[in-house]
Amino acid sequence: MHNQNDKNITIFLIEDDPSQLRSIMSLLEFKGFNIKPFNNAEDFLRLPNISRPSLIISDMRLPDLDGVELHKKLTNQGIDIPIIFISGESSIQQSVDAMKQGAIEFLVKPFDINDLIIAIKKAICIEHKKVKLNILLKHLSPRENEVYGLLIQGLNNTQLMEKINISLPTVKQYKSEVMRKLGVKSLSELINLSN
Amino acid sequence: MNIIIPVIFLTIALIQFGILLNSITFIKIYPNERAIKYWVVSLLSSSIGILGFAYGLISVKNLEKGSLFLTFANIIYFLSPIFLILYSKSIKKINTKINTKIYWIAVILFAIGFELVRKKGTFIDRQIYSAIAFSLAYFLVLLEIKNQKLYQGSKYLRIFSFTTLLEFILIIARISILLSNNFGIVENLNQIPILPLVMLWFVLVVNLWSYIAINGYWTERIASLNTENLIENTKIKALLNEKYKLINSLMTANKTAVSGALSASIAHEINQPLGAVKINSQHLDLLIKNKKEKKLIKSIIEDNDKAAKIISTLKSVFSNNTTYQIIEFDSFIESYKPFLIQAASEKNIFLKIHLDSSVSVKINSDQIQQVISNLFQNSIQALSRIEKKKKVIEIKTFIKNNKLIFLISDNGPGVDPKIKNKIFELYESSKNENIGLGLWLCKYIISLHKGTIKVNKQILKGAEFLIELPISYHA
Repeated sequence: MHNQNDKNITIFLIEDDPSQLRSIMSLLEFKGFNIKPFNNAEDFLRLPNISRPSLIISDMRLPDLDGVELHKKLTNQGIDIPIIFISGESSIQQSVDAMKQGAIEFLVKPFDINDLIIAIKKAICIEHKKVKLNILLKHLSPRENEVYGLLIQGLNNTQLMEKINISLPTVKQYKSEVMRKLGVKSLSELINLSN
Repeated sequence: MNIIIPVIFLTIALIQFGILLNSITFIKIYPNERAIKYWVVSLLSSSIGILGFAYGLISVKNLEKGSLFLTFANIIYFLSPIFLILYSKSIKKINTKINTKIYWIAVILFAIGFELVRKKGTFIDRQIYSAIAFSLAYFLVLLEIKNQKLYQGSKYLRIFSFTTLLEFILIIARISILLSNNFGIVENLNQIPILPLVMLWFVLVVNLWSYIAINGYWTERIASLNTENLIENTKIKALLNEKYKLINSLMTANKTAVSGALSASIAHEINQPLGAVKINSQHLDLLIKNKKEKKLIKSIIEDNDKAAKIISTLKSVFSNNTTYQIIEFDSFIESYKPFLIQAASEKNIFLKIHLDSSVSVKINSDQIQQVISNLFQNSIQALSRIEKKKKVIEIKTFIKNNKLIFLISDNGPGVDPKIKNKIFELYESSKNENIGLGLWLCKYIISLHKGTIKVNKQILKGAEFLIELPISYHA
């Protein structure tokens, strides 16, 4: 049912309602996932290091933070773990906000476990891609990393020249080096990698 | 002197008529009181009798011989103490039947006796005869007063008891005067002996008092009844006031709860356990292979979903957004369009939207969204119950009679005409899930917006709901 990749992923489940937490946990454990439960956001954020690959399933309304705030905090710390929101109430504005910030899914309680599983699979897929990318990015030099960052923002050669103050041949050289190290053949593939 | 006598009789008769008029009111108020009827008859016969005396005394040729007219006046007058006996008997016993036969016999005997005395005896003989008959009648009244203990309790009945006793004494005194003197022959008014006549007037005046006393008694009863009514009325008013206050406080409690943070989390709090129940049920479903148990789990999940659906149809009630904003209605629907399209396409329903109002309305967006969502979900539900190749939901906005019209129709089974008028009632819409949840809430919300909602003749042959909202301004 699940491949090895699914099993070595950690699911951080953040939910303040104990019965909700227990039920999701026991179901996902039964499905073979590795679950780390939290009943508030601060406890989760206090973790010394957040192991990857992982994903977050979080309630939208937590006693200390709301889901969107949690997501913002993680992004600010440079942690790009896929996040699935579950909520006891379905405000359309809330779900729109959450999705805009890059949430994988927004499930309204009581939700169907199949929907949850589909969302988890989607998140796992993205997470693996991200982890792979992060490993590849480690091989890049600081300058190459900077170029990569600008490339995925969609900057062209001329803009790159102006931005980091280098000549066109150097730009082209950095670009081909980044693409080689990340194993992509075209710019579109490179941009795709980060999404 | 000759004319003074009938005039005094006439005066007394008129006063009695006056009291009689007053007593008619009592019959109206106490239509079932036998005592009042007896009293009224007594008063009536007394006044007619006395009136008869007045006329009889003028018209008679020879007083010594009397006349048949005067005999009748005496008989009628004799009815008054007889009915006073009946009155005394029945005043404290409501609705007890009294055998009146013996009294009628007494009246007939009196009549025969009187006529005999008239034929054989003198004017004075007749006076003695009738005075004795009256004394007997009054004796019976007194006996009744004693038996019924009428002198206890009401002060007016006490006066009545006293005046009756006084009348009795006066009659006895009159008899003794009539018997102890020889008044001779009385042929005309001038020959009527003064003393017994004055005694008779005394009797009549005291008789008036007793009638007035009875009148007072009934007035008192009405007054106390009125007081009781007044107290009862005040009590009822107080109760109504309390009820009103209670409803009012419940309403305000509800309002503050709706707008308060507490109720905003109610939906959330209810969905927590519902969510856990659903996950656990589905988990259990994965663990169990037995068909019977699986069936049970399925129904648990279905009921759980139903509960969640009720919460979602009530969402706007739990919302703490109570503000009204002036919103361009078409763009409001437009912003909601992606969700509608997705929900429809999931069920293979073709959604047609024609927005042609371009006006602004003052609405609470959460509440109106709830209404649209409820109606839309009802259409989807109705369509998912039927087998049809092309399922359509149509949404339209337009202007008619300077009102914004929002129209949603489907080609589903439609609304049963039998329940058409009941679908907006809370009880009805919760009883029959086929008419869709939350229509009562839709109506409630639309009425808060000073609009109307009705189920209409169908365009697509299914259900059609039409909402009318007042326009704030044209774009």
